[in-house]
Amino acid sequence: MVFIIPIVIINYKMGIGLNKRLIYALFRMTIQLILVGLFLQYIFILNNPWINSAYIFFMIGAAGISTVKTCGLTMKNQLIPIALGFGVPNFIMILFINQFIIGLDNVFNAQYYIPLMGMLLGNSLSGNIIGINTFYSGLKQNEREYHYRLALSANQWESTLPWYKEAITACMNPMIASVETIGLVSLPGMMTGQILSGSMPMTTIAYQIVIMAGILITRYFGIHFSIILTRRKAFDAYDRLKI
Amino acid sequence: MAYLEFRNIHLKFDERLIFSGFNLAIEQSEKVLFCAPSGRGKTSLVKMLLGFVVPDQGEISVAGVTLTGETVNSIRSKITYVSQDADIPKGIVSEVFAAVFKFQVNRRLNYQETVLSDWLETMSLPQDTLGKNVDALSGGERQRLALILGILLDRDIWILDEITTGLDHTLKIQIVELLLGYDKTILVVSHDDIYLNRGLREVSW
Repeated sequence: MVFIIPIVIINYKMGIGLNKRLIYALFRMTIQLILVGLFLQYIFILNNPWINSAYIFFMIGAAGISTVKTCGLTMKNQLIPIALGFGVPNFIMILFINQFIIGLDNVFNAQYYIPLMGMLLGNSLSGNIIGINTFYSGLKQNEREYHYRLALSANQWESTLPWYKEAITACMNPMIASVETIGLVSLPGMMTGQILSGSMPMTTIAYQIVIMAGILITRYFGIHFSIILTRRKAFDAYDRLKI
Repeated sequence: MAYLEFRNIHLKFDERLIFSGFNLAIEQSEKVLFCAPSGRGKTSLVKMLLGFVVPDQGEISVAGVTLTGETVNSIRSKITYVSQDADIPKGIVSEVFAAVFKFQVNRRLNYQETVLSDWLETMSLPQDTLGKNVDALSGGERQRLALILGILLDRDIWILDEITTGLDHTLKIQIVELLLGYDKTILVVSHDDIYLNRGLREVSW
């Protein structure tokens, strides 16, 4: 924290208007993480499958709200489709990993269930935001071309296909790039954390491979489902984009 | 009932009243020129026919069918729309054409790429246009491709919205004569004198 002081001074002297937000962000992060830490500690001690799952659903809901807000969708119509769209693949994936890959007796064990689901969801979230944004903003920006396709009698699915494909690509590209370079450019956070708390590197690698494959798969299906589910309410009866 | 009908249309656009109680009836195979001054909503009018602009009030019918969310797809499939901007889908021309005829509704047309060669010649387009990317073509070239596509789709109603803008005079005459020779219901949006004295019914408001 001592190193923040020179930053604040430099910003102040040079008139770089970042200080207020910077200090607020650091303060907020500290409080947020302490609260989450306390909360998680409590959840881990209880380790009740229902409470753990309730926490997971809370994460899915929060991620859904974040996507809807960032992409400029309407909360009322699109929150549930979005939350289902990427909640379901992630939920299936976490159960699969816990049951068949790690081989837990209790797949809802907080120690695995919560942090791994957090990683899966976090990645699906960023992928979903990129993909959904690409799809709907692509349609909006190319409205004339989209309408022309409709006029050529493409149905709604056929006429939106170019932007659908673009959305999947945009969603997966950064993921594929990071899978390619992982370990070369930076050690993933999960590995770093495990190593710092005493695990051997080869153990952490095994988990990392599993989680990366899991992330890639859920991100892929998450964006498909999210677009398919949100588009049901994104067009009017004349197939015009409502968003 | 006329073939195409606008009944008591009211439309506001950006808080501006464009149509209030507009009526128009067009018979089958009639050729109509919309020549109202700029800003009077000529393009909005034709877009209403396609369901891209929905009037605040009033009714539109095409071939006896009232335009609604349920009927819009079948009505669109009766209309060919070529606009000034000619927003043909992106990609290699031959692939774009093939893709359009793969849309479910258009599959029955039995499209063969071999027919294109003659059409390119008629429209004064080089034969290698087929291998080019749509993005690499000029506005006038894209317009002519859109016209070929429109003719091949063989629909009953043609909407030609400022299609002569990118063309030189000789080509303009040639294309306008060709298009007006078809036994279709043709709605033309244009200020171009080239359409005058060709037997089109002039509609202004």
